[in-house]
Amino acid sequence: MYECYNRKLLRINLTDRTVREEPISEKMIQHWVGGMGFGVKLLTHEVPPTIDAFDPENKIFICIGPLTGTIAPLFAQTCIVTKSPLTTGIINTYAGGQIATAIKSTGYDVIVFEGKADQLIYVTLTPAGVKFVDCPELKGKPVREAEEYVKTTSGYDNMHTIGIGLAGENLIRYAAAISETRAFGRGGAGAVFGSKNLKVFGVVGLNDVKVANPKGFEEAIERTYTAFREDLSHPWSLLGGFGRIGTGSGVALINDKHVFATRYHKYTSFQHANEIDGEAFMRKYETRPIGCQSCLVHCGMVRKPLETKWGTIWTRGPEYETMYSIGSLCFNDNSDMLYYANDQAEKYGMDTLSLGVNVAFAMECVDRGILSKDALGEGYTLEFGNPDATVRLIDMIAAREGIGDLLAEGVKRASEKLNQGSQDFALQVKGMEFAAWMPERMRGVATTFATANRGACHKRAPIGMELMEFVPMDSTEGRAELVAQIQNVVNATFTLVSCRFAEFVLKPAQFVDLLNNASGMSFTAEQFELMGEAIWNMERMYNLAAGIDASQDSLPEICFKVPLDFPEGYKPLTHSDFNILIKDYYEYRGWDASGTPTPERLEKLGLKG
Amino acid sequence: MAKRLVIDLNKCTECRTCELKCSFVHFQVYNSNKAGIQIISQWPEKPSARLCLQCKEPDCLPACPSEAMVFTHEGSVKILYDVCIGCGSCVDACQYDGVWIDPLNNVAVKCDTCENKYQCIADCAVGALSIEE
Repeated sequence: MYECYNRKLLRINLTDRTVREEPISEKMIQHWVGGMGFGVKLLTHEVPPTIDAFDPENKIFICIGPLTGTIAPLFAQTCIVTKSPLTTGIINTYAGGQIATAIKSTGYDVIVFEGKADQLIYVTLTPAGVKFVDCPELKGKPVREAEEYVKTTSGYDNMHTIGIGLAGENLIRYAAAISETRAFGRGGAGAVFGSKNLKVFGVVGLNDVKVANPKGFEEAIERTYTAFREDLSHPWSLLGGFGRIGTGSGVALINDKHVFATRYHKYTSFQHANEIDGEAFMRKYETRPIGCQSCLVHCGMVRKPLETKWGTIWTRGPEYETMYSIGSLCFNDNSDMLYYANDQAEKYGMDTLSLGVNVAFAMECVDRGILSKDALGEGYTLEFGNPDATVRLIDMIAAREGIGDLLAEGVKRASEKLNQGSQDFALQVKGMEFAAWMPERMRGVATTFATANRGACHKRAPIGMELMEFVPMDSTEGRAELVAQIQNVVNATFTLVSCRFAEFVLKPAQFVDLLNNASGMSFTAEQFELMGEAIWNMERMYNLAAGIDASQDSLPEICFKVPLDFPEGYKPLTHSDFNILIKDYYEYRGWDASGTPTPERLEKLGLKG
Repeated sequence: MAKRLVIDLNKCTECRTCELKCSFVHFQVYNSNKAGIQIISQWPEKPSARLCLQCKEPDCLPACPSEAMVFTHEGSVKILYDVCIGCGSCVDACQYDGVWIDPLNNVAVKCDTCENKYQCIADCAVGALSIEE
């Protein structure tokens, strides 16, 4: 039993530079499986909900799962759980690549960073043990440079890393932790690294990854491959498009369907979308598809070095979400700028979603007379569609220079300072800036943005169902149930730790097939989904204790305004629709009218006491 | 040269499925260090790979002091893991970087073509692996 687990957790205390190893119990594995399950269980029990996210008492839980490091496709993600400086609630954030497999082979399932170093340091975990190394020379360095420095200085060319850039060091509330170009994007995990003075974490492992039932696992892998290959064989397969063109492959469809938020939600489609979408990037820039460990989708697009007017760089991406946030939302149709801004975000370590929304928010504030168009200094005009202004403002945010200091706090805090009605159009929920997609158009997206424990996040929204109009996108009918179910299932898959895209193809029973053969456990699909629901409620209880109450299950007023090109035949979102969605959602979840899980539901989920 | 595994680095996506498949076929565990093929990333450029050329007159085999390397019926060199002492003589002898040491079990590792079954090929999502006669 449990062969696919290391069954050990490593605590790395940055204050006194000590380490402590702890066993992971059988009960912990059976209840919470791994990944997000472990992270949420540990954080909610160890980090007081009312402390500041930058308090040294906050912790960073880096978690992998039972399928990490195996050949199972689309399980190469690492999950970081911490208390978010952006939402003040619990956050789980993910990145792919090779780091998860490296962590698995160190012999640990969870790495916990605790305390705060007295100066900037990097930490390495290798066969030689844990090393704490002061690194004042890395202060302000771009992530990629810092990662390379640690690899070279440590003498391990097979080291994998997670690092932060200037944004993390400067406590930008949406700073990302970056692992070899891939971002733990949402929620400001990079700023928590920064608050602990942790610049880079480097990992080298040698250990084997085993499974309980090798023959059964091989057969389960074959079934999994068959499912993916069947999906990928269709010319219209979404994942197939991701593999050919990247995650920006769907922009044309999204734009046609009028759900591509443009010029700060003034429009639902962008006239110049075809200048910045996946096809445009393939057409304009030499590109190579890259896969995470064991992935057959290979959606990561590495571009050849490019000379832009701002400098010569290379980048991996941009992803679809960046095409929205720094692209259409800012009314930018300049793909060179998007290429460059994507690299800026990686270099500084920033979530491109929150970053783009903050840039667009500043532009909107100028339109509404709240900020001056000269706020960027001489030679720049802060306005929609201005690529120079976008690049300049990103630099200013990372450095907390001028209005960059205000926007480094995120649109919630910035709008509270600016006032003048700006809270009504600050695109955020619970402090988290909007992901792509439009609550004005899609009721499932409206419900998800309002209720997600991470804030306005799209990661657990029924987007495919609504986009393809398998359900009418403007109907409240059954929508709350659909959202809650997908939230539960995705939470469950994040215990493994799955890529978000796996759920596009695999059903809960197929995830469980892999889990059971790898671990020797005997989960049913129902138990698996129930665990996802339990995790959701555990997060919810923590957020309530952190002061995030039902009043924050809301959307900004701008979502109830009708965009100028709102398509005919569809109903825009109204307050009464929204109230129905939230009421239905609470009822389906077994929560009372104040959005608090009832004792009965908690008992059913095994969370009482 | 005997038949051998070759990789098209223009197609490779660096997912390393081949590495894990190889370690599983040979050792029933997943561990890239135990794989007879190694993909080396060098972004933004395409990767390089370490892979045995299956020389007809290999330098590695005669260099082995413990007779842990033998020819298979198919003409490729195979390592007897129980016999190998991990001394690295074969690594030093090979001019093509086609053999290396698994640091965990301290044994030499290389591609032995799975007795001509080349089990990694079927799992490559982009068809980057093939057999060269």
